[in-house]
Amino acid sequence: MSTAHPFLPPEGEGAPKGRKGDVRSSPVYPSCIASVAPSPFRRFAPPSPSGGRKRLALAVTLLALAAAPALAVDPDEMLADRALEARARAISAEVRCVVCQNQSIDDSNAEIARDMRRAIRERLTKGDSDAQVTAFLRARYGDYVLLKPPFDIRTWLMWLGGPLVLVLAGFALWRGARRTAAQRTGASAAVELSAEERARVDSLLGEDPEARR
Amino acid sequence: MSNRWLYVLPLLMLVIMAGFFAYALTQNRNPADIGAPLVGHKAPQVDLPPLHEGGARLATADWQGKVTVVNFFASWCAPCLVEHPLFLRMKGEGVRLHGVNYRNKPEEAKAWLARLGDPYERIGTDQDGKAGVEFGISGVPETFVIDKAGIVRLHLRRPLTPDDVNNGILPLLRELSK
Repeated sequence: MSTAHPFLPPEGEGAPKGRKGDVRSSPVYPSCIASVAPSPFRRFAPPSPSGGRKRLALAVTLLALAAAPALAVDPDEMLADRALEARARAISAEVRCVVCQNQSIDDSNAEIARDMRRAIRERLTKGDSDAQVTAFLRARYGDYVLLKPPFDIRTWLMWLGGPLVLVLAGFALWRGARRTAAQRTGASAAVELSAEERARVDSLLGEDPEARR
Repeated sequence: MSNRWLYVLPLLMLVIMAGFFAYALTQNRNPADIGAPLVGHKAPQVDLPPLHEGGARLATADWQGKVTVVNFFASWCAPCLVEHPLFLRMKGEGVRLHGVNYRNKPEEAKAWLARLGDPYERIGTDQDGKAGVEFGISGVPETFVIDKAGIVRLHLRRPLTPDDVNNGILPLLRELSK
């Protein structure tokens, strides 16, 4: 979704309309599923002469299911070099779209997100490393474009806050457990009677210590 | 002793949370603010074809040696229309002004400028938004002030107001031109 920036170009301005990579709207997909769905009458049907075609349909369906859902990235944006394309996808998944709240440019249909994806691919093609590409965007859009904020003086509390609380809570629990254990052993020691106390209890109760044994 | 601490814990958490909320509500911070990381750095290298036939290309060399204002605009952008009179005024005050026509059909941009007046010394066209990413813009209008050495001194990610021009850009240009 592209929402935040009010001054985006209108649809169709400067760039081709439509999204060619939108597999989800393809009509082929559901019919393939239907053709391999088990039929209740299958057992009574004669052996199918079109077994090969069915296998093909199954293969196509499996392929369609295995395909990653096409997102904002147009097929004609993609690089022919698959290794470079994979790097571009990995980088853009970590880059925040500047006009949409909390969406990566890999997911966004915004024009500026597409421009940034293209800039990433151009720089990768020129031989930039992943770090150089990220630095290029960071120099222009700041830490704002990083979905994972860097660890520095402003973010240390955010990064370490959770683990810190966990450690503190663990320490408090450990101390509490130790104290409880100490109290329990103290209490059981108090329950133990000395020989004189036992003799006194026995005399008070009028019991024969020999019989009790 | 441990139990007494447990009684204070909810109150402590409340205080911490109230502190967070007070900070978030009272600080005048905008989480959608990208900031202007290019300020203090060299203006990006671009070389853009002219909007007008026979016009000169807009390139990095055009802001070497003289203080320059570069404005990204488009005819489809309503805030650009609002800030346009301010650029005409700046031109009248002798400011060197370059325009980048962002993602705009040339004939529409030309008609728009013919109707409203053309304050720009040179206009480069950025049909596919490449120069936009080079300059780190997130939309139009955005305005840059570049000094004699080609360093970005100001980057506004919004339409200019008369106050920006009077108390921001014009004093800055005077200071940089010294």
